[in-house]
Amino acid sequence: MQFQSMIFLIFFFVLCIVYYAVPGKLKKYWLLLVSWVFYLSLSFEFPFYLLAVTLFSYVMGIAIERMSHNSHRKRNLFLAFALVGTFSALAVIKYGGFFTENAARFLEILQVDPPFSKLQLVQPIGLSFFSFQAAGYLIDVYRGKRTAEKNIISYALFLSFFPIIMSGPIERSTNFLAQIDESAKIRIDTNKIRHGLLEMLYGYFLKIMVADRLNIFVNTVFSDHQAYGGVVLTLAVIAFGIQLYCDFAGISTIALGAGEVLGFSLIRNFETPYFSLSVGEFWRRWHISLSTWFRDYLYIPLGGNRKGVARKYLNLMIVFLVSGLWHGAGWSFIVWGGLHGLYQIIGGLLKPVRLKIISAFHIDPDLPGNRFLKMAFNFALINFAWLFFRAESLTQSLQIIWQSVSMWNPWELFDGTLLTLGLDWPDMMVLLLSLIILLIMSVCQYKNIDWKTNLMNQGFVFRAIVYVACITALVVFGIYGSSYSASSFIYVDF
Amino acid sequence: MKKRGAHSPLRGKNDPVLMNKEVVTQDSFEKKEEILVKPVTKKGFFQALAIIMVLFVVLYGLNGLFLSRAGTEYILNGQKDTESSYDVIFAGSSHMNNAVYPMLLWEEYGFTSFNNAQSGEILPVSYYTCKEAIEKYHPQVLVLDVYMLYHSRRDGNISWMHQSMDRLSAANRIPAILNLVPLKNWEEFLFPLSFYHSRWKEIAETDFVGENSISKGCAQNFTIAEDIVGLTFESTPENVKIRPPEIPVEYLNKIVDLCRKTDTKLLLVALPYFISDELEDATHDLSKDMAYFNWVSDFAQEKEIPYINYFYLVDEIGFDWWECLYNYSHMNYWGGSIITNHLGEYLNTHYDLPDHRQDPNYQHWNEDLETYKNHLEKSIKNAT
Repeated sequence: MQFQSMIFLIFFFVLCIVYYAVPGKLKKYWLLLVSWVFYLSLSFEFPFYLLAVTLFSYVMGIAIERMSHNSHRKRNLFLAFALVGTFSALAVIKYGGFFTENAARFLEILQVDPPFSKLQLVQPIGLSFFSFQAAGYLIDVYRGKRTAEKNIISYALFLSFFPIIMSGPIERSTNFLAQIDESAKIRIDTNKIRHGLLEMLYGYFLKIMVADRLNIFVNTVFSDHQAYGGVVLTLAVIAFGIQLYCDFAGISTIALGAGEVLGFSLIRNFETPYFSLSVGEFWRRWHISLSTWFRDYLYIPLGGNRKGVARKYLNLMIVFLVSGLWHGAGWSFIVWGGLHGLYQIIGGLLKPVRLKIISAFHIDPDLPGNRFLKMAFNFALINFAWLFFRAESLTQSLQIIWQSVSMWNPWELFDGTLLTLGLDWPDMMVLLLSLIILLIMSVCQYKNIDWKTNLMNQGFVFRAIVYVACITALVVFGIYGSSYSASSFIYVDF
Repeated sequence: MKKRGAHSPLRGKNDPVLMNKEVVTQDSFEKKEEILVKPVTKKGFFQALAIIMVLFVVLYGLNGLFLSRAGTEYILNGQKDTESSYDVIFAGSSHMNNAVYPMLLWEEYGFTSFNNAQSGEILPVSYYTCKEAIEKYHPQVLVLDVYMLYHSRRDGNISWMHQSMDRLSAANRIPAILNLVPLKNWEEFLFPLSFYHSRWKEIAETDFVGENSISKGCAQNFTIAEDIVGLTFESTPENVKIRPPEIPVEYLNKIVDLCRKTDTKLLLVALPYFISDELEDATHDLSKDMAYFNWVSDFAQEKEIPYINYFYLVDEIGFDWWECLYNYSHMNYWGGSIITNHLGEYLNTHYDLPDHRQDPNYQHWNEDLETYKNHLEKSIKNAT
């Protein structure tokens, strides 16, 4: 059951009716039940991991809290044990294959027969997300930011809540678990429900109108990259950047909206990241729940920027390499993470030079034109890194770069090649219109214009027409269902 | 203008600018919640209901519009205009669809018929299409092809199931989906728009206004199966009988019961086709199929239903294997004409079927016959 299926919409409708009909105290029991039904529908073979991480981190949370604060060493060791236990499934299943493969290659270089073969395990849905969420909770309890959760139902719901189990956002115990504890007090709030539904509608737009349509184009080019020149390859990389954003932000927005309909305020995971003026700002706007997780639970414990410039850059590089690995167990993801780390280090090192140039040439960096150029340059840097993220391997990334430089065929823009890349003319028109809508909505978001409240304040007839027209457009023009092999949510595998 | 997140006290916390700031406390959350909660009002409820109803009507309309027209010329429910009743309805698989030509029957005998058989229509699906046809068109005789007795499952090729089932009325379609369609395909059958919505690029006038089959549902091909020429048909003796798998037999029984209940006369037929080991694309075992068809003789006798097994009548009716098929499995026009003539005579002799040819209410059939014959003449001319 994926978000973009009719079955999910019916499931969601029914669960909402029951949710608001049952007494407050039963709400979290009901949500836990439907969350597990949802999870089993996605990952029927592997409920064990979610169950194991839930029970283990629940017990560890209580144990950490009960340990005396006087024995720091013991508490540290216990936290380390709890974190290793929580991450063990993730480490073995997601990274076992990568490490055994590379270890075997290394031994082969040393002309030693590896005594093991590559580990190949199927990764359960959402493993990276609920493992990180559990680990964050344990650290919060250790730091005394919140008390250990005693109610197993609340805690299990915290890790398995159906809108976020598949692709995040990675919730914090200080935010979401606190709300679950108070879920008995949640009452029907039509404002929140309407806001949530509109949020979901926009999420669906991002996912099925933009991301999955771009996916057809991107897949066509990347699956046969040798056939295309630099212009098409560059377009495909840019398209992938937009696709990935709309895919991930789409699902996060659907999750945010679904949470809001049920009375919860989840972390907003994206804040128009491509409008960023620097790579650092990009990471404050992209996958916010993950980047803040790394900031709070890795970067700051490593020393952050408190131990000198060299150490700060080292910490930054460690965080981005780990972030790369979180996104995928492969060298191309490590290179992608490393590039982002490198961008920030170079940016930091060149900052004095940049300031001198600005001062010497009397450049006003706040002029709209200059801001736009900075944004465009930043967008180019981010997209260059996406190439490594999307390519099948590091070798393919390098081939694409070489081909883009050596075979720049600008005529492919005009000779009809673009219409042979999976999207015909009507689809291109729908895509273009969708991208214009995306731009307008992004500007609204960037400028804090609350389009949802504005729409909700309009007269009934106008609202009704807009709602019906938008839903109908999504149903007809969206890419979903079995007629198209709609791509699975890209972030599901991470 | 309200700022984004004004409705939600926790929203500000998610702002990247405020990320490092202190988390909003639970107390403040509750206090603000109490102020902002807006309960359901009667007006709001009816407005929401109205929007849902309008949306339902719009999507229901689109659902019908977007159904694929591929193959609809072969099914009754795909026609723009139909009779309120037909004297005979032919049902079953593509074998039947290619073998019996209703307009020739009209020309010769004057009874109305429609060939409602579909490509790959398995017997469980035929049960529902026959039920719908009987309920809507009250035929005196239902002629069913038993070719699909070999198919041992409730579900078959999903596209063909769509063709047969998507245009059934909800009363028959929903039970058919629940009983026959695999769970993973329920969504596309229950909400066909989720399957067909990608047709938005090809919607044409016919999707809006519909069209009628010139040949009343049958398919006609005008080529000869070259790969069969020179091969010898290896028949299975009539006394070799094998009971077919349980599921097709279960649905054959259901069709028999359905006809009894609705007072519809059922005629079973096995139509000839040619499979040989020498044909590369032959998909199953003819000798086993023929043994199933031989079992049908006993079944029909037990149920007191007439049955014609054309495999043993080919010499008698002049059916030449080398000339009467357009591929190893389906009849061409000349083969179909032979079967139509024989079956027409049988129906005319054994049932009390009316002759409407002089009936003023059926003059459009005579007009349709003219169109059909012109079309047929052109097709034969093009083929030769």
